[in-house]
Amino acid sequence: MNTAAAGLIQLKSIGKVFITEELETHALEDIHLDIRKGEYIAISGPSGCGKSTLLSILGLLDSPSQGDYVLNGKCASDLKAAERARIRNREIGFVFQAFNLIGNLTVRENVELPLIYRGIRSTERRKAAEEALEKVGMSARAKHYPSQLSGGQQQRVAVARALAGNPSVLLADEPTGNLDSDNGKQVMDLLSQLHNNGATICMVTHDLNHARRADRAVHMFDGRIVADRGPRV
Amino acid sequence: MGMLIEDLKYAVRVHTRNVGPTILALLTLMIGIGAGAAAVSVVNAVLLEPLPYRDPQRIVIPWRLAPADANLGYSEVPWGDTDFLHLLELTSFDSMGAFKSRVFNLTGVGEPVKLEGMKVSAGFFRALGLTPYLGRAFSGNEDREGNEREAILSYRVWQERFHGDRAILGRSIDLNGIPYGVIGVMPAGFAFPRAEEMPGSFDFPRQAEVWVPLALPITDKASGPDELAVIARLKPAVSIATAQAEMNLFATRMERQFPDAKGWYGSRVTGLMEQATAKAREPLLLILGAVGVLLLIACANVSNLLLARSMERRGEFALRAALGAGKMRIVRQILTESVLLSVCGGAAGAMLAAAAIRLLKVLGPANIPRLQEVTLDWRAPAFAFAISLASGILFGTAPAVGALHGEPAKSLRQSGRGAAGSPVGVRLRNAFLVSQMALALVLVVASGLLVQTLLRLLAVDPGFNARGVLTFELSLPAAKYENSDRIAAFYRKTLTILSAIPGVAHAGIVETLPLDGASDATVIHIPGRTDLPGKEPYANYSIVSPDYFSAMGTPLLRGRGFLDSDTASSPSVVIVNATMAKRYWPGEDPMGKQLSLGNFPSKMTILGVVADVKHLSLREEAGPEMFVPYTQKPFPSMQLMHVVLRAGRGLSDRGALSLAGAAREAIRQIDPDVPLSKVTTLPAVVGDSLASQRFSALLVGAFGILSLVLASIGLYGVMSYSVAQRTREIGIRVALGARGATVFAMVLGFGGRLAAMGILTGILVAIGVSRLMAGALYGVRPTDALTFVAAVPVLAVAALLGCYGPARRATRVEPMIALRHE
Ligand SMILES: Nc1ncnc2c1ncn2[C@@H]1O[C@H](COP(=O)(O)OP(=O)(O)OP(=O)(O)O)[C@@H](O)[C@H]1O
Ligand SMILES: [Mg+2]
Repeated sequence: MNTAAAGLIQLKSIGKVFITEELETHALEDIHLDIRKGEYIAISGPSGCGKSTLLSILGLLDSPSQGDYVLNGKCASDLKAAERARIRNREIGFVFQAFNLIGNLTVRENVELPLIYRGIRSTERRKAAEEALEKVGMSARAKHYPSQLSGGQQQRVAVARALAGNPSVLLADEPTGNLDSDNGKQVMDLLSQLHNNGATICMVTHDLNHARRADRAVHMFDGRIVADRGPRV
Repeated sequence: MGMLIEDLKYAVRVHTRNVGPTILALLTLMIGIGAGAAAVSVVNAVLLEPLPYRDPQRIVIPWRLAPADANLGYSEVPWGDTDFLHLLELTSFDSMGAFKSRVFNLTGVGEPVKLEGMKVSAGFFRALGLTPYLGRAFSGNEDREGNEREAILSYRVWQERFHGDRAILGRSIDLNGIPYGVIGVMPAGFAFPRAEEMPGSFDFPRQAEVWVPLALPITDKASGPDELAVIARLKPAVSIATAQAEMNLFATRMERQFPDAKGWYGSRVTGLMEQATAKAREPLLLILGAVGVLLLIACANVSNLLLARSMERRGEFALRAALGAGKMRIVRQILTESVLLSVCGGAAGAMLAAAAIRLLKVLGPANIPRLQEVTLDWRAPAFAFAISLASGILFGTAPAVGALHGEPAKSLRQSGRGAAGSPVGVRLRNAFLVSQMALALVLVVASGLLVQTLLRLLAVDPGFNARGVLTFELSLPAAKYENSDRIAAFYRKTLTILSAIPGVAHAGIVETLPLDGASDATVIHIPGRTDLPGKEPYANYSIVSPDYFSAMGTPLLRGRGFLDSDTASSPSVVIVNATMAKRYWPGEDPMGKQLSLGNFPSKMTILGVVADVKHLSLREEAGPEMFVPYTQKPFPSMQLMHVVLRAGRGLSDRGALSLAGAAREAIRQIDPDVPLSKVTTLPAVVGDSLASQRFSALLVGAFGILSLVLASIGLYGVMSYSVAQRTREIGIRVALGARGATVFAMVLGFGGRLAAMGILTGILVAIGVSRLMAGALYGVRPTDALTFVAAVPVLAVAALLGCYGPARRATRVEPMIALRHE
């Protein structure tokens, strides 16, 4: 915790290379990024520039080919799968473009899922899930199945699932990509509201209007960060 | 034509592109069709093939039945000479013949050889409706006392001993030292009666080689022991029931005429077909049942695999329809694929069946008739092929047609969303899997019960100690050994010389070897007892030498064994078994008690009690049995006796077998005209008596294992499909923090729930079905709890094996997949 001043996340010289049959894709090259607690960052850039790859490394879904990743003061670059799963589960909340709710679980069961993997007892789980649903305004739909909800409602449930475990950071990849503008706006409002209440958010988006709502905008091109506008005052 | 080739090419591509399910389906088809075809071929040849006689359904055997309370351990008993002469007068039958087995020594043509033969009356061949291959059958005239020196040879003896010389007719051969004129040769393959088709209480040969006339004396007085079996041909319009009714009237008549034998004229008219297949029926039906279950499992498996594939391809079908392909066009494509799979599976199955039949002939017990004549029946593979084809059509086509029924657009959209799947399809697949597991459990329980039966039988005390005992048969030429003094002298000398062979601890002789056939039963008289006619005490009766019980290791429970001093001139003595002592002298000391045999006046004194010995099978309850010394002029003639030699301490069964050479040499020195046959060890005799049980247990066990393999494959298929369908869901769970072990447990849990449902269903089915096999069991109840409990972990392991691969695959799903957009 001696680096507390430096913040929550530090990426030092991160690179990621995908090697397929004939092709070597340098998806990320020499990425430096610090994220402080309570920040709201928007990452944007053209398709294929490495936004999702960067997010997957931040979210410990994948490990970098080179460089160091420090999360909460601990090095997270070379961890075993089980340890990464544990950190994902405790420190990180995901919101995906495709919502990714599990079809044969109810809304509440979906929200409880990360808590189940944390081994929390069912009464506490239930309470946490209800609180999270309350925050996103979906309490009334707790017993519904995802197929019974609109896209925007599904994404709000997904946000509730990401919140339920009280993660250090919320990672969102194109959270409005599958939504129409009305629903998209609702979800963006929700994220802003969470940010105002202190959540750390890192969001990937194409939409410059959405990017503008964040207090820091990172622009990528061809695997590199080409602009990093600090918090506007 | 071009279209067909096009379809075929595409079918090959479909099957090879996704090769895993194709291999599983082929394997399943091969096992199912192979085992099914083999079993159907065997059952067909053994049970259903018509007998090679004219109008075989008219041929019957009127068995004489012992009274129900006689407790002989068997019910069919021989008719007497007089009975047969009376039976000839019945009007239900066209022709009727009597027959009994006789052993002949053929001398004068090369080495002396013992031939199993039959004495048959003139009606024997007529009843069978069979004429010899060469020459003629016996005429009524030849079937008279004094004219009976004629013989008919088997095809094999004719070929092997006389090189197929047609000039054999009219030639004279020596049987038991008496010249017989050869008048005929039977067709190749003729074998009636076959020991394995007849009641064990009759000592028929497996394959008779020579037939001579029975030539009964025409008299109304009982002349000798009852020895005859009878075969008859029903008159054209007469049913078995009518003949039985006439036999019942006959019984009443006979009882009036011979009140002494009251109760002994009962009969049962049995069709030859039924007789020939009765013994084999139960084990074969058991096996057929097992195969049926296996086939069901295989069908469920193939259906499941095809269903999975066709569900996956709903999108493809919908797309084709959207592009304008007609429904028939698509159905034909799927049919081509199914047929291709069935043809390949069928071909592999036919090869497996051919191999299985060959194996069966080697492993199968000798008492399953016609087993050696089984060939692969083309109908069997055709049948199995049809089944696989039908299931292919049903489960390959149905989902496709279903996909085409709604608007294509909807199916197109659905097919894109892998996780959704079709709930009906999934439920159907799960149902198939549950029934597969259930059926496999039924087979495992069945084989468990059979194995337990075998073990219980092996643990049964047969009343002797088989280890280290050599046995063989001696048959004395009747012409040379015509009186009992000479016979007794021969055996005395033989026993002395055999006992002196180094390595021989005890040497004995016995008329009927335990577990090798029943000894004759006879009515006995016990002084002081008054029994109603027909209710007289009786006992099985065997002739033995003094050292016989020691050689067999049969414990002497009371008194003493026979001594060399028990001779023709000393008082008559007898040893009884424990059951006889208990039954006829309950609560009394049997020692010193007296009894006499049948019509003989001379009294015999009991001087010992021995343990009960099993005669027909290890399952039987022992009946009363008595033993008399060979030195005291017993009947019958003792021309056929079994020798038992117990090897000295430390000699194994192999060691016992090594005594055979010395024994053979010793007999040759005593009399070179006495052939020695059926050389074997006593453990082999015991083993033979269990051959049928072992065969059933082996086959049903094999089917049980195959069914486990198939169920495992089935579960593997379902779980693989399910994991593939749920890849994205699993990825999401991993992204949210599920660990490898959690995912593994989740998949295993899903497979485990299906397996548990299958096991539960299987237990219920098995409880209902195992009752059907009660007759095949011994010492274990059809609902034996231990067997049922033990079957559960076996199934669980098979289920685990089936789930393991897919569950491992699930743990390797990358969480990254969650980030990818659909
Ligand atoms: N698993 C993979 N294997 C190989 N190459 C990959 C893999 N994942 C990503 N890439 C490549 O890495 C580069 C960056 O991909 P990434 O998904 O991060 O882009 P993106 O910025 O998220 O694009 P978009 O806006 O279209 O989502 C691309 O060229 C992509 O083809
Ligand atoms: Mg992306």
